[in-house]
Amino acid sequence: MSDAAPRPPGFVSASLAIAQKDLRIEGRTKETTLATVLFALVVLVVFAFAFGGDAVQRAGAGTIVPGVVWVTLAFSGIVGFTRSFRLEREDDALAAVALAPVDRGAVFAGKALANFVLLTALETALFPLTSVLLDVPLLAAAAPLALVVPLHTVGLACLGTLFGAVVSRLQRGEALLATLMLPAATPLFLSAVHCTASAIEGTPLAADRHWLLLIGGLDVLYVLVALLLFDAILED
Amino acid sequence: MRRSSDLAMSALTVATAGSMAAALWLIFLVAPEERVMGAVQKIFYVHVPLAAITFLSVFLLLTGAAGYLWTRRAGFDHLSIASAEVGWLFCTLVLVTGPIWAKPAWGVWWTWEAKLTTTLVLWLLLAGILLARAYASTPEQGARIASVLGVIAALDVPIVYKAVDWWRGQHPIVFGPGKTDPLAPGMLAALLVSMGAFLLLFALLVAVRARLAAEEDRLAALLEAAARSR
Amino acid sequence: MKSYAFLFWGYAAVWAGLTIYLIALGRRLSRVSRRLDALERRGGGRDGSAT
Repeated sequence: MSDAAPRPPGFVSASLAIAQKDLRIEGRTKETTLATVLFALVVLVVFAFAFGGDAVQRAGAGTIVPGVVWVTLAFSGIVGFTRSFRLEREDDALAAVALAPVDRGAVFAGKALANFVLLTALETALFPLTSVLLDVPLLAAAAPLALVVPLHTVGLACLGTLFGAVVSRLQRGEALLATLMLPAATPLFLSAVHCTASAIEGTPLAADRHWLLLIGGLDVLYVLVALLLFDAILED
Repeated sequence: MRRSSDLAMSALTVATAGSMAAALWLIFLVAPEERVMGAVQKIFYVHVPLAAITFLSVFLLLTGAAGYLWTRRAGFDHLSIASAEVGWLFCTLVLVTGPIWAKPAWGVWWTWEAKLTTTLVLWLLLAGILLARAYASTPEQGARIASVLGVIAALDVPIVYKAVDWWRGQHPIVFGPGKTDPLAPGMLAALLVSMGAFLLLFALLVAVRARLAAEEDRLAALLEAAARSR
Repeated sequence: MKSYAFLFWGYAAVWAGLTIYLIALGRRLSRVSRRLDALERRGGGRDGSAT
């Protein structure tokens, strides 16, 4: 038998392992998915009540739908982000994860990846639901949406994981997640709504080049900043 | 050591009071009344310095927050708390004086233009940082979390500005090429002196708040030592 | 004239805000200083109980 201690897993394999763990737990319990999809449906209905069922006909699809979709996504996502870290918190698994001989950055990457997958799953339900409830055809915009939505979902997952971690350290911190995260998410949100509106209205995406560059840059920035700060966040 | 910093503090207080008095004199007794907007334009002499200093405080917050995360030296956290709190106060005053000026000048209390929106988002970010400190379970955790949030907020501000700018845009241009009416010399003097006065006031407030943070740390340490020695 | 009212309230808000903050800071600072002085006078801190 070799005397050497086993090498700690590399960054990528550690991240993938963490993502796999979170997704496997979610696959078994389906807790988060059910909670977020149901919440999203409720928010959609509330929006229909708030703006009137025929709002799309009156104001136009590009005006109403992107805002409704992204507000719903933001708040449903927050429901999910909260649970992602509370799971760990419950039996202090987070301390164990943080102490594991892996870069804490891998914890971020893994959890962000898992959150991205869960958000994408939510979106596959949300867009058809929106199309039906608000009576707006989205199938024609499927191609540009397939680019725009995942790009912004990456940013949302990164921010959600970052702030979810911050908030998980605070007492009763979950109440703070939306308050802390959403102002910081302003550029992401503005870009998401604008690009989604373009996609729905049929404007060629080339016209939104600067927005797409912005969100691409933001995604990279969020990842870098999170990797830099995650050590400090998970310290205790 | 205590002596000289007390002396500096007193000097700063006197300088602040003096320059404020000079500023007020210039604003109300020297600077001419603006042709179009009338007397209400004089709010500009406090609004502009408050806004400029708010963004200075973000820079200080970044320094304190990053410095604390890097070195874990308490002095950086004191700077961080002070610039976040005083910055938040100045930001509040900007958001109050802005609409008070805007309503008579342009007829609306608010518009979602880049500078205003960014200031509002900044206010929310700073409020979040102060709130997070209150929710922390230990001062050390509060310092760490607030520093993380502080770095994020500081980095976010320029991005928010750019994004909102693309989204909208129409703040009145006071200096620079878009300007139709250059400032009369009396106005420029009033603005500069007012800026200086508010800068001194800001420095004074930050110094006092940082001193308060340091004293509270000392008190907590002494109490903890006393409890442990029992 | 209406615009004088706006001018007044603008300056009033600024001075009120700054003054309130300065007073609050001053009070907190003197309270902490008093407690620090009391602790230091008590020296070795056998009875370190302070509320």
